[in-house]
Amino acid sequence: LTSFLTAHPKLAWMHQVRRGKYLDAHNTLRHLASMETESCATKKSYLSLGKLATVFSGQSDAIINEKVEEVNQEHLLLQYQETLPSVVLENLNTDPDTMSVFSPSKLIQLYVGEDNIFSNEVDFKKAFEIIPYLPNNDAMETEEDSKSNDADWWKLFIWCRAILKDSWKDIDAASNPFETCSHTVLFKLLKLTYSTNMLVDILPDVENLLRREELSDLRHDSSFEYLLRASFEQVLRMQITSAA
Amino acid sequence: EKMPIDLHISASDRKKIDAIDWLVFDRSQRCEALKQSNAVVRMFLAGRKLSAAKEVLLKIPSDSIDVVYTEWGHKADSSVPLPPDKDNTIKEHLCLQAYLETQQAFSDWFKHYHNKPSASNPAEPTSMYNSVSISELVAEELRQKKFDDDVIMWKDRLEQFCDSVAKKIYNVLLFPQGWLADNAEQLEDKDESREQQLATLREQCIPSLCDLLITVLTSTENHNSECAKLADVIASEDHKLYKLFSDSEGRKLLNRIQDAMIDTL
Repeated sequence: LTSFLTAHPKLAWMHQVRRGKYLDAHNTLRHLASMETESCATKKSYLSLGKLATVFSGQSDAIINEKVEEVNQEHLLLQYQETLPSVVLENLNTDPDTMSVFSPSKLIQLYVGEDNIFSNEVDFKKAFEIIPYLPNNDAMETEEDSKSNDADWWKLFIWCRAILKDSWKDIDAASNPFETCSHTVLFKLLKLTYSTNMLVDILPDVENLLRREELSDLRHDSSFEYLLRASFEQVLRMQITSAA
Repeated sequence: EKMPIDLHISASDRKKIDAIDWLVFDRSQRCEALKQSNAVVRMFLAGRKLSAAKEVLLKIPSDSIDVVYTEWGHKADSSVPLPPDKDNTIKEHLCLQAYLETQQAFSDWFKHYHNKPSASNPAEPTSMYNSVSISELVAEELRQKKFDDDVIMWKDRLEQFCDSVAKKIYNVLLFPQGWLADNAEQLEDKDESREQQLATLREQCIPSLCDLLITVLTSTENHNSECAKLADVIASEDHKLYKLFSDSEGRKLLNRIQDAMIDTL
């Protein structure tokens, strides 16, 4: 029976619950959740049931808390998917009840991509928050894969998308960009991530940022380059002052 | 499945219920009336006296919350928010109301569930040759058709009752900032016995509501899969409902959800 059930995890967790093997049921449900790609709702329920199985397992608080925390992290990632703007889901021809499971990198792209036409600083902040969920690039083999899971690469990608939300024509290089550009997504994003103490972890290397292909048109605009350098430098200084 | 326990109203309960009439008489005392009625309802719920609790709430005029705000407006500038104790009193009143609505919805579903049309007996052959006449055949066909229609109507109605129960129960489970949880912390005049009662009622009512919902979902055709959504709600960190279950209640819950989900495989 055990080997039969191992091959059929969808039955196994039920059997384990019936036999009072709650920790085994938890593990099976976590396994099912990790395998689930077709339905976001199903994945969520596997995680929820797995969490409940641990909570009521009668194990020590330390064990329960550790496993609950793991599930909470996975639930959080699904929450980013559940709170995708409806316009994005409509473009994908799906809805919250029937959508499949999106990978972290796809989620980032959806939050900051063209389809999210009304994207604002909150969407970009969410994209940054998803970065820690990207699979560890040690496990990646090909160079293409390793690039696409490199956290720094994704940070630059998100900053570029934020910059490109606004047109940077007619910049007054003499003015204070934090005043004259305060309407732009980029500066709203800087402000938001600064006030939530997140900026320190996501601040890009300006050289690398300017080298990005997406910014090739803007790069030759000396006042834009100046604006970007000056702004990031000012932010960096603010970080250092507040840390000190 | 069975109806939740509803103990009968004693003479001393009756006195408490009737006293509410006097409390709501003076508009300027309406907040105090709500506070007192909340306390009486809490006591009735803890004692599993649902009808008594319902009678108390029926005595509260439906415009009472407006009255509390208006009366407060007479005393204070409109920009001054309600003090925490008044705010909590109103919220508690709404929570208790939402809970009693779940009980009403369940009782409607329950009555309908047990009122399923029963199959009529096929016509007995009456003619001497042991055969059924044409008119009897037609009558039988009509009877059968009527029965089929009745069953379809019964099922539709059961579905509506089921949806209503689910909606009402989720209103309680997902009550903003938590069911019977105070909005604001009241620093002065802290009423510890009240807080204790609220906590006890949360632990008593929330697990039993979840149990009730599973009963309704699994007894109404094609609703078993919705038990998975209930698991999501209970496991969610937003309301942390899972913390209100004892281990044995939680295990019972998991077993019932598991049973429901076998049927969806």
